[in-house]
Amino acid sequence: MTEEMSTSSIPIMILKGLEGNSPTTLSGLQVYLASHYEILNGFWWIMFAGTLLYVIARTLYDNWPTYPHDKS
Amino acid sequence: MNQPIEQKEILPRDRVFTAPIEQSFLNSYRRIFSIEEIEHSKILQWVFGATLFSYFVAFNSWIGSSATTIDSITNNSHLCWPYFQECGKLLFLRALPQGYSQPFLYMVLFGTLLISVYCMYRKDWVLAHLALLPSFLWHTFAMFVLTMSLSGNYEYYLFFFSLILLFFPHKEFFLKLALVFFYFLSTAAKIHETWILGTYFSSLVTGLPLFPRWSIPFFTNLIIFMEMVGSWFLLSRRPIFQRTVLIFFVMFHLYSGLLVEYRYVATVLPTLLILFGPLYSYTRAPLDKKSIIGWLLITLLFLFQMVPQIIPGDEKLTMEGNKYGLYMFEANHQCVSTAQIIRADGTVRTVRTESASARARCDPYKYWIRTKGYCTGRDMVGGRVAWTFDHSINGGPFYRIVDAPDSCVLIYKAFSHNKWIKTENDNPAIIGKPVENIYD
Repeated sequence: MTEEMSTSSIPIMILKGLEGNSPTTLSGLQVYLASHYEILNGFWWIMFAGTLLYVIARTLYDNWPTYPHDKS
Repeated sequence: MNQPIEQKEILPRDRVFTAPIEQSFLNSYRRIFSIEEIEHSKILQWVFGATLFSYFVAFNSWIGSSATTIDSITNNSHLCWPYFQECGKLLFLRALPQGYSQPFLYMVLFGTLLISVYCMYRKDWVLAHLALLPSFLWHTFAMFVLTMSLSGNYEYYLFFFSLILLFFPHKEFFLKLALVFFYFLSTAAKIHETWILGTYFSSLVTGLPLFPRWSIPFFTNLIIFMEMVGSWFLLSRRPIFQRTVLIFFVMFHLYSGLLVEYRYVATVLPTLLILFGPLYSYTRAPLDKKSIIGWLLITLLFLFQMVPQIIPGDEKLTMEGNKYGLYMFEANHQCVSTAQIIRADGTVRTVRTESASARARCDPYKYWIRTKGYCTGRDMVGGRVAWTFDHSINGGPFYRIVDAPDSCVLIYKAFSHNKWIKTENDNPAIIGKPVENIYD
């Protein structure tokens, strides 16, 4: 039988200068956000791409010398 | 009554360089690098001063650094860029106490910067430009060719601001766009649990300075939003939006100084205030032939920022391609590197290296270069260096991402994935859990 090692049984690694410090833990809000991490990650990438595309389109529209609204 | 004739002040360059060929050169130089833009723009003149100030600040920390000296080779601390791993052959300087050629170089640069200041005062922007050139060239050469150790994000800012200011047409527009685009691009490194959950700060002993731990995700996501979307309003025609966002970023930089101290703030904040502060006026985006080089640079910035996204695996864990784009606070790192130097006669020496701060980037490439230093020597003929590298990010478990029987035979590819570095998809072994990290 293969038994998977539980992370809670793994000894905490002590790094130089850190002896006596606490192991890292997540707050309640972070635990909640972590459960929706893939959605949040996707949201920010869509926002990133959307912002960039909007800025490019707006720059071209506002500044392209031959655009119809510039002819007047 | 005769009006007094206004005497036009003779520029230093017209006093010093009087030969026709010299004048011809200076006129061509002025035209090629669009220096008349600086002559006619108070904003660009101020940015010129801020850039000069940034060089003083940068070289103040570089003058004593061993990163660009031949001694960094002998003590196995030099670090070349992955795209030029033979950089050590170019090193020639020595710093105190081993020698003084490096301080000498930096004091020569100090002199040229002083000349530039004088020429600014005399409004001779051609000579001021020429006098700033040696600092730009050395800064660029040292940072991108001689060593990877001096490649802080603030040095990227200084390089690109200087590049645009010194050489590009449409200087004011592209300086403004570059600064906003840096904010925007920096969010590509922040779309990660580091910032979405705020684990960078919650895994620090000191947390997020001034704010309670429960509020960390609010502020980290606010920063992502403001840098990604809000920063574009710095370029707005509407004063209410433009000023509000400016105040936000001024506060942001002052706050960030609690962690990053003066160096980064001194480079970015003066330029931010000059370009978007009281002197700000809306600048139309140029779409003429002269602007092509500026748009090309912006495109290259974007492409280089995407390099770590294209390389398979979590760049925060593998660190592959990490430094080709902006990477400030990309993850809270802890790592343990263990090299077993197994000589031909069978004797073994173990070298264990541990990170001690979130700022230590824990790049396997850097530690691999160090282990390579153990591969040479007569007693290593027939020997090997067995090497393991355990990496934890943002308080997560330590993963054994490198477990190499002989690091001497490994090759590091600069722009693609190195199979000997395990990604999260390779199910690397969990070695342990970290304690809260420190930031210094």
